[in-house]
Amino acid sequence: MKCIQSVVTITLIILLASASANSESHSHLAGEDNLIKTASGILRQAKALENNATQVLRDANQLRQTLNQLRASQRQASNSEHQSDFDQSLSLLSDQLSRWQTEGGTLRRHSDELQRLGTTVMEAGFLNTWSDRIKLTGPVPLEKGDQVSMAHNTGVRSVHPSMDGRMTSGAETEQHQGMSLSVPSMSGQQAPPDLDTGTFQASRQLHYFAHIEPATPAEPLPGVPLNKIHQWHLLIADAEGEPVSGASIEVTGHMPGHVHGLPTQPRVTDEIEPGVYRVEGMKFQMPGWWVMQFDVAGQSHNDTLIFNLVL
Amino acid sequence: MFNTHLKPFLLGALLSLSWPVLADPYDFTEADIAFLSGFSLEARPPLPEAKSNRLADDTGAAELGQKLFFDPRLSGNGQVSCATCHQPAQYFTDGLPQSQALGITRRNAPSIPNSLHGPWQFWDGRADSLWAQALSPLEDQAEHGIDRTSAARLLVTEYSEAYEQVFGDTQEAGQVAAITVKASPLTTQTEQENWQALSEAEQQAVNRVFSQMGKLMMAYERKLELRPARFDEFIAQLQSDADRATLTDLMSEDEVRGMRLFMGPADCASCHNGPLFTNFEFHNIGAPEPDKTQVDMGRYTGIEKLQQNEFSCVSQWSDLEPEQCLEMAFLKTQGPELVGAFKTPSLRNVAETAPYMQAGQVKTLEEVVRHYNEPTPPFYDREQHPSRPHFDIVPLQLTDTELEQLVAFLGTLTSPLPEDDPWWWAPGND
Repeated sequence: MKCIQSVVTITLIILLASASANSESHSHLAGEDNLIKTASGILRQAKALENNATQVLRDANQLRQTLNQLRASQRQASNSEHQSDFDQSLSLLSDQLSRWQTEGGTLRRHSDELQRLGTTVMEAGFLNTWSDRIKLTGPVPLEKGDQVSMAHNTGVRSVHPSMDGRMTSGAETEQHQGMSLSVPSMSGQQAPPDLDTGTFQASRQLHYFAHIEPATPAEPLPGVPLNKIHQWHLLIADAEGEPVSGASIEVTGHMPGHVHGLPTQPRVTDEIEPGVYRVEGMKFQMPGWWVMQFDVAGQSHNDTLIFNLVL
Repeated sequence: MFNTHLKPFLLGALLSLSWPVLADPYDFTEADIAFLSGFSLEARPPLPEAKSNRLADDTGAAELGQKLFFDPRLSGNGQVSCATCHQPAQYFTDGLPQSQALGITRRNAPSIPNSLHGPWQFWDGRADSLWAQALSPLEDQAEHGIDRTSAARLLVTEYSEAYEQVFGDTQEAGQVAAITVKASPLTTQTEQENWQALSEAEQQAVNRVFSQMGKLMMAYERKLELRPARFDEFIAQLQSDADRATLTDLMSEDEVRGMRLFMGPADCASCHNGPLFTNFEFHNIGAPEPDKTQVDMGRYTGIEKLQQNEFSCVSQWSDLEPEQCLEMAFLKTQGPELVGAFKTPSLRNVAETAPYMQAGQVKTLEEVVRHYNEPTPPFYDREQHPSRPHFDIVPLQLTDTELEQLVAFLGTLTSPLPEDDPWWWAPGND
């Protein structure tokens, strides 16, 4: 009895979950004249689908645990009369589990597709709105001709005697192809291969949509000059696709795997035109994976923009 | 005991099995050579732009600056010049833990030819130019102990001709020459009272000439050039594909093994990198605290002093407009990593510039590498520290032999003293 009850409960949950996912994914995309606004809608749906996928997969995990418990109980149960009940429930539940797993995977795949679509549409929207301003659409490059100096504190982080391993394993080194020398390791700074280094990003809560690029000469693309203080432009639109004016913005940057941030304290010094902010005092002293964060306090929302750079 | 003896043996056995290349440490691949070339003096960039001092590259200014640098009259007792603690024969250091002039300084005298690159001066980076740096020891009671008015007056009276050649016939020179008292806003109480008694125009004139003096000294310091060390010649020979005999003549096997350790397992190159073997940044490596009753906060207090520095890039004495001083405008003023952090010193001529660390508290290079091998975390005192200091190094687990090889390698970074370079030495009486 107990088993059947739980099957019913869980089935209800999944029905509700898929219903809400379907209703979201079928809402219309057309009829928007502002591409950033369209992108905002798509990205919201992508996020909703991702939430659904997470929920479904979480339920599936719970069900898998229930199944395992049930199988354990079946092994312990001596009464052969109940064996067929067990078999029936187990079969039902395991069908359900595989349906949920498939559904979770499908939802996630759709979410990823929508996410990509949304980003593409957003980029097109920015290029529409700020065609004369945007010179960079790919990842932020290093300026050409920069001598690649070595990392300032690769493998160095704040350690404490209580940190197991780090105090006894010696320095982290690595050996590059074709080298007999081993050199300080970049571990913890190697960007994951699928890292999103796009310069068009939505904020965490999808309130803002933004683009960054170095305000350096485009030769052929605007790039980051190593070890030199330079400026960036930060372009922000809201969910309606309108430029975000008068926002107060905090700028921070760090390298994952490091405890140290940027060597300078950059800040927004000017709004050049509505939604276009000048960020001054940017300086990167080494190549590698950097994360730039902009905390945007606008009139109605506070939200955070994150950009990954691999210099 | 067991461990230290067994480890090199095992390590050697392992390496020779899996990595036959290390059988001859003199074998370097093209990629190795490209990597090592980044540390050669050859790769040194041109001197950084110094627009806050329009005389930075003026030879006339440098000649006058050289005279000032070696002039002991620039002191309270007539016996202390810049060269007292920055001695040319010792690569512009003094061989002492803490410098001795009129008193004893808190920190160890850095080598000037190593200090021409990088945005910050002093161990804590409390000056943002060589000219601002040069001025503060003059008025320090433990160093030159001279008031700024007397220093300025010496320049416009004793060097009036050379001064005019560089700056022309300035109004401030006449104003300063006419002041007869010792006066400064920083030094003794009498001198401070005298300073208050000067007119604002007089104070301005003194400050202007005083800042000119710093700029002259900076112009001189920018003429100090390092000659290639054995290490640089070794790299040059590697680049030109020299034979093994040439290489072994330049660097011994221990030195070459030390270099390999330096670049990798000893982790030195993480911070001591580039042609000057420094990243010009600030780190806390947990060097023994010289005085636990008065902890040295390093960069943390250096930032405050920098912002109060009367002669920084944003001051009216700078040749730049304040908004052009980008390092100051976007100065990192906060962060736990500033506490007890000191500037990474260059390692050029390091074997000739003992003792080591910010207060010379470590006597030999052997002790230095031993500290890195088995570091103690930074001293922490809740009463004195604003937050627990960062600790930027990890124990290295190197053997005694490896430590010796590391020290041997550091010896290859010594440039020969340039006997025939007139800039390096006290000016003649011509």
